[in-house]
Amino acid sequence: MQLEIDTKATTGGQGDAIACDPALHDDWHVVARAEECAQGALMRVRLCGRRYVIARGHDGSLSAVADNHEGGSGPLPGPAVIEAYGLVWMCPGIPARGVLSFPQFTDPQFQVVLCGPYGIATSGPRIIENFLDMAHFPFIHPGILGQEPDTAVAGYKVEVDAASGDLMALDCSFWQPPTSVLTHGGSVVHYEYRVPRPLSAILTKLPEAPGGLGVSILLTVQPVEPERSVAWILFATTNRQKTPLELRAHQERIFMQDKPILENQQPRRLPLSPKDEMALPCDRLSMAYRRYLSDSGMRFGVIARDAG
Amino acid sequence: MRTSWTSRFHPVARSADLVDGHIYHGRLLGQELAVWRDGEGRPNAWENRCPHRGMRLTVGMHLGSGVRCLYHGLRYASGSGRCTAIPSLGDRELPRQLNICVKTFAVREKYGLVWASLAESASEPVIAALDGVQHTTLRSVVIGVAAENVMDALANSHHHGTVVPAEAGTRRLSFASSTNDKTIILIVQPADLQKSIVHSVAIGEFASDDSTTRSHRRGLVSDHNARLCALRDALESTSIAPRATSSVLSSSAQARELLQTPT
Repeated sequence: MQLEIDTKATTGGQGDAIACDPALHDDWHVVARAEECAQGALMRVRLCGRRYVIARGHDGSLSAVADNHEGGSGPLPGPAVIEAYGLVWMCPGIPARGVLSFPQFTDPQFQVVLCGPYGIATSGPRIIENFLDMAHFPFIHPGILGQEPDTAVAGYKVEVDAASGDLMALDCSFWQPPTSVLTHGGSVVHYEYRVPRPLSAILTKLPEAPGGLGVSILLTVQPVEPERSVAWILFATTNRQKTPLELRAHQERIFMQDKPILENQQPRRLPLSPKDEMALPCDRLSMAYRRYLSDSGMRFGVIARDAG
Repeated sequence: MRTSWTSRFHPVARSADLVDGHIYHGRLLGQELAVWRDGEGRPNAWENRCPHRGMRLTVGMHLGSGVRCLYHGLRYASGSGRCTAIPSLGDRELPRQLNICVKTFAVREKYGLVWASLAESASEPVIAALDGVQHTTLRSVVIGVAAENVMDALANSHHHGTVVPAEAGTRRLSFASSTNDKTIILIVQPADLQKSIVHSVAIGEFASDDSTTRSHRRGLVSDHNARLCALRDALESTSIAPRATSSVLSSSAQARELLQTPT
């Protein structure tokens, strides 16, 4: 399939960050819902300040090219693009590894609903860090994920999984009021967090008893500009009494409570130096996440430690 | 050489903007401010940013004696800006090495305006013409150009009277009206690199409430406002579009630096 490429546009500063961002360049990022890409149609997407065009050929396969503003000559290297979990993932560089693992997607015990895309006017790391934070539950999600006066965050373990390199928070717990999705009276809910990639995180609510309801939520952020992002959520639960519509509405309600918070954090880029924002004892995961980003060389949407 | 803009008090709100229970979103030299009056009437001018996770305090909760951050419920006391409650700790003590405090700025309330200074020491805001006389704060007008340009334009404008420099950062506008001579003091707030706010304080017996005075006042106020708006339109039509600011931290530092540069 022949794609039209606009080479007239002038060279802009946009996209320079991704080219030298070791944390994002060779990784996979969601850019679209798979069903949005119709056969024989073109779709424009944006990733890390650059524009791309995705096409689905008549054989169903996906391909992508840069919707080029650099106007270079010669054949353009097409970014890698694949389909996974009902989403289209793109890698602007040379894929260093596969798409992250979310086994609940194919687990017959779980029903999985896609929530989003949600445009958020802030950096990707701010969105992920908020997702990793339990302390805001009673204030931002009252009656759903927490409730005053039960605001205390108990201690938990933070570690890096030796095999995968994923950042993990284990033995997390928080008091949660009764909700419609997890049918229980108010009780302490146990969580695990996994950060497999700089802009992806998975929260798992552990069942209260063997055979109890389980929930796993994957949040992955499509970095559009350093301070503009699109959030995608895969909500997986063993609760089969709820319809996909109900589950999506529940997750959307929660995320729309987070949005005004995220869009009012200043600066929008996440500061990685520990001096820039005061950490509390409950922020051990947040601090570990900032270190993890620092170690991975992340630059897009952050204020690097060496930036002063 | 102009004196530095940073080591001075500038207006950041009108007194009337600080209504009960409200946290006003202000800006001075690129610095975003949370300006609010506590239950006892004392004004505060704080960095608009919770030191914990950067949340704007203007969207927080006004508690009378302090402000509660919306995000994690941290509380900060009026005056000192010191953190007084951290709900995520539960019953645990705050670790001693944690000394959490909002960044506070020097603040004054005078002439119907709330003034703040980004520098730790700044000379008090004094406008001799307004001391000891009755005065009224009029509507403030936002102009999308640098404060320097507004000051210059005011000095050269054929406003409806004589404009002369008053105290630093101010212009004194004197003119004759149909009933008597009027003086309005114009004070330019350097909000950002490309954003100024012109505050107007009129001298005179505005409090008088007979109908002649009222209608005269309305005429004066609307005339003054129309002329300031015309000045705004003229200035904005000749200025280049303000460039988007990247981050608060860099833009405020940059704004201060540029505004300090003598022209």
